[in-house]
Amino acid sequence: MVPGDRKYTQEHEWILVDGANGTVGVTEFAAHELGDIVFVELPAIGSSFKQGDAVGTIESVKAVADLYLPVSGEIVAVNDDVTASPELLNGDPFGRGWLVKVKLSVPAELDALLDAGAYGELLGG
Amino acid sequence: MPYVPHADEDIRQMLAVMGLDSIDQLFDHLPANVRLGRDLDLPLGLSEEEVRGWFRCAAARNHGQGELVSFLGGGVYDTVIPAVIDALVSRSEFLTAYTPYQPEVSQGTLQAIYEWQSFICRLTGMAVANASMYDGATALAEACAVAVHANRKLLVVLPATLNPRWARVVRTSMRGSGIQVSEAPAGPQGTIDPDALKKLLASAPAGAFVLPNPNYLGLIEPVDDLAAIAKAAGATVIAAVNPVSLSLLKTPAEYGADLVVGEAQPFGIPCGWGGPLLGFLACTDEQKRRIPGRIVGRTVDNRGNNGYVLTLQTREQHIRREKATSNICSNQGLNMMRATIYLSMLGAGGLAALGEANRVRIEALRTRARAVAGVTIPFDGPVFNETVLRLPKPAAEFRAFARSRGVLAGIPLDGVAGCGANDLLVAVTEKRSAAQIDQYGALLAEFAAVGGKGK
Amino acid sequence: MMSEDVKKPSRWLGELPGSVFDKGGPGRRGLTFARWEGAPAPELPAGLRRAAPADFPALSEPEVMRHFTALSNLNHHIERGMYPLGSCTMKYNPRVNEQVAAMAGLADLHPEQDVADIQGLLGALLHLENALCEITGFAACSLMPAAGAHGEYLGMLVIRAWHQSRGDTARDEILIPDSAHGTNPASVAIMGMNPRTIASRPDGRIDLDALRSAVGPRTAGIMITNPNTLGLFENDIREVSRIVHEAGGRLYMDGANLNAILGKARPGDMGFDVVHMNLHKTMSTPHGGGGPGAGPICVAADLAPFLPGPRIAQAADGSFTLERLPRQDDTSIHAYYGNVGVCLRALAYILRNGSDGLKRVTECAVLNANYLRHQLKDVIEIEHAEGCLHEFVATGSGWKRDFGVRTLDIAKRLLDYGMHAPTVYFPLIVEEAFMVEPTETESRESLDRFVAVMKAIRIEAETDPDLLHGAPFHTPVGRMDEARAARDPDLRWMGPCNC
Repeated sequence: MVPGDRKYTQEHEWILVDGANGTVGVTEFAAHELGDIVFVELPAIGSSFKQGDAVGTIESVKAVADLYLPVSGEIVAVNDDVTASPELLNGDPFGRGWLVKVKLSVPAELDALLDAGAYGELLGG
Repeated sequence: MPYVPHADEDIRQMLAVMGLDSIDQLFDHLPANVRLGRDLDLPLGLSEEEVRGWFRCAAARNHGQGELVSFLGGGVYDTVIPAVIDALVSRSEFLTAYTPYQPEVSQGTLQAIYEWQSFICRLTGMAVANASMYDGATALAEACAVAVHANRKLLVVLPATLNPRWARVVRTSMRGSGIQVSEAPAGPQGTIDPDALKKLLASAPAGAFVLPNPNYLGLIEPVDDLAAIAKAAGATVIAAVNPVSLSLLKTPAEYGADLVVGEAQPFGIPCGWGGPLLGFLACTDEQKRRIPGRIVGRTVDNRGNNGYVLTLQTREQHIRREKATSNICSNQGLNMMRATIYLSMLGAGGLAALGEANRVRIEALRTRARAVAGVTIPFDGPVFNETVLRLPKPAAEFRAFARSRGVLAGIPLDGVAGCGANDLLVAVTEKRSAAQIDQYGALLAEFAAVGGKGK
Repeated sequence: MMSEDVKKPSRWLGELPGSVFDKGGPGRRGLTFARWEGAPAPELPAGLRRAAPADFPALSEPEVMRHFTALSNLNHHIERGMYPLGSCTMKYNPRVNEQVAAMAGLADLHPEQDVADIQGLLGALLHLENALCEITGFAACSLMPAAGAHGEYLGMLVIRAWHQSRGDTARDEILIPDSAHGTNPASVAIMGMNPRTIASRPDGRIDLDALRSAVGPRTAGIMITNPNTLGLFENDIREVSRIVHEAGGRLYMDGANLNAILGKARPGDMGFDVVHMNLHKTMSTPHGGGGPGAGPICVAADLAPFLPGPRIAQAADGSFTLERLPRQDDTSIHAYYGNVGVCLRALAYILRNGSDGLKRVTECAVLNANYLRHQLKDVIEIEHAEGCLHEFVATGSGWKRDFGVRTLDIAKRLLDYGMHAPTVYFPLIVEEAFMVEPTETESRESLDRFVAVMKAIRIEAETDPDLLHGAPFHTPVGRMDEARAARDPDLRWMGPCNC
């Protein structure tokens, strides 16, 4: 279950690009590995980060994962629904469980990310 | 051997099951170069009665507050301990239980922690409290770390009126993690100087401001003004309180504190030469995922019962490891149980009575001291249960004189918050009688008049 | 062993006690105080008063006794049944320890009293310091740490102060094997130093090649638990010590597992420089549902000047003193001198056992662990073939594969049989870890019962795995919804819950 419309990281984030902005979330695999997600902390809108920066945390009852930004850019939106109802991340990680929208500052960074096929292999291997 | 069930025959049989004939074989794999190869240089084991005798002998060489009349305070107080506390905490169910990681068989401990958290929240006005810290001083150090990590301003302002023992623990801890500490001076009233604080906060952005109340000199700080100054400068306000005083005094929530810490020893815990004590830590709802220590929450089980669990555990070292904000693991569980029982015994009626009992006694002592020629009260602002006396001669001399009459007179303050060698910190609790306070006044008069030789 | 009624899920028949905030009634009083015979005090100015009294319940003394007794009945405890908790050393807590610590003349001392009034106490504490030094093979001891993690923190302070005293300020790394307890990296990090994880071998022992390549000019020290969290002795410890010392670092031992080596081997002789002890584990002081414990540290002679003051010493005339050294004056980790009452309990235990008893403690702790390990080997897969010391690690991965039953399910089902669960999912390097430490105070019959229960649970896993998934059934509450607790935290009483 790896949607083909987006790019992936080794750390199990996804990014779906639409023009200058990308929507970022974590994959179903990551959500499942963490278990019941109970708390999500996201960055402030307007803050800027470099690719690979830890910009938030995702917590289950007994584990914590950092959210790494797949590309450099400025945070233009965060998903308040998911901070209010973290279980969205378990239920719909590729849809309503999205985390942040980022305005890409270095679009070329996308080229080095995994496509759905490569990410699927990562999970399979 | 006292606490090992096995007789030699049991050991032989158990070894035989494993195909062994000597217990030494179980240690054969220890490398030769680290084996002790001799017996420990300690005496052979004693009988239980001999152990009791050993300690009776040691105790007889001490002179405690049960034998002497104590006016010592400074954070630890000689208070009333109801008999039900020892009766309940000596039950194996509380005494010998492990940390409540298995909630199905730990609801007793968990519910008690939840009730403790609830008592502390109601006392302080805060939204969240944890299960306990080692003592008030370490609770304060942890609160400072929470504050500066949250707002990324690596400076903590400690006032001169803070308990110097607590200040030393905070400084040690901050030095370790590269956080600066500066001191807000006391004014002539023996409380924090608001103008000096304003200047200090303007000169460098502080992450945290520690507001002791009552302060180490026993005085009630102008908390509204001080908290407002600190908040205007963007500092997190940490109130360091004597929780007994909150029976009467304005709550930290009412003056806008973000974090509250204190020493809860007066709630049913023996002084025990300063340990084990009972630190507590409370905070606003916003800070709840940043504070250290165990926290219990109410939830439901798979049968539809209400029940309690350790929660928000991702803050803690066993999950976050090197990214945890604190390394605390064991806390003061059984002392928290003592305090929870104490507060339940105290109840709504007892709480008000306790506060008034402290205040009426310290006011009586102040009145008595003022009447003694040569003795003054250098800071005469409102107090709760402690006061500074300025004596005509060194406080250490009075302490020795009073001790020779069976009275523990107080703590000499030389060098603390502008105090000199003649200043003494005196505390009362609900345990002191009017007669004992009269006796204290008489000792002061005798000392001031004739010079009261030491021992 | 396994009777029908144990197999069949049935409900616990007791009643949950309800909240203390829901009990009592207006005007009831438990605690009252002596009447005041003196003059009344002037009113406290209104501006200083709290707006409303704290909303406490009002209970009488009998109601308080009944409430907390009802709570106590919901707890597992040592007198009810075994606590096979790996790395936690849940042994019997002798009651004479409690008796002596509560004695008048000890429990009622104020920390600001003159040394002349506390001579007996200081003598007892010095006696304990010396005994702990002999047990660990070190020169000096600080009783100040209030818990094991607090001892780790002090140990790191001491090691760093030593480096700094030599002008060696670049050393900021502490090496920690990946099998370590979570407090180790946390203690290093809060000191502003960097924990550097080194991979251990599959048996949890240190990989010497990994160690050699990790040490360098930034190495301040290493933290090692010995025996390690798999109950195995670090056979190469002298070589580890040589490598770290040659690189300029110091060795810290987490003494959580000291129960395995009392009177057999000493950290000081192994090449360590600092050790902390958990008196609430090895020295039998009670866990109290989470504390108070005590975590004193012992150190090598050259580190003694870096221990926090004041230090207890004995003068020529035999009297005891508290000495402040200038170097220690600005360092403290506790308002006073640590969890003194816990230290006194530990001293009672050491006096009662003596050198002969302490050795027997370790021998029987190791015997019990090996016996249990031997008897369980056909029930659950044991991680390592060789003999263990005081504890061993099994893995539930076979049960998971064959029956679809996780280690958590086994742990929860043990509760139904009146036993506490073992430590599970730790150490992190073992899949489905199931870590058992019986301690020396369990009788052979008690160990045999644990084996029989494990066999019964294995049969249940084979025939009715869902029974285990739903366990426990006989406890006051069932499995709790921890996700709900963390998502929407309810952390203080605001009335009955509508759930």
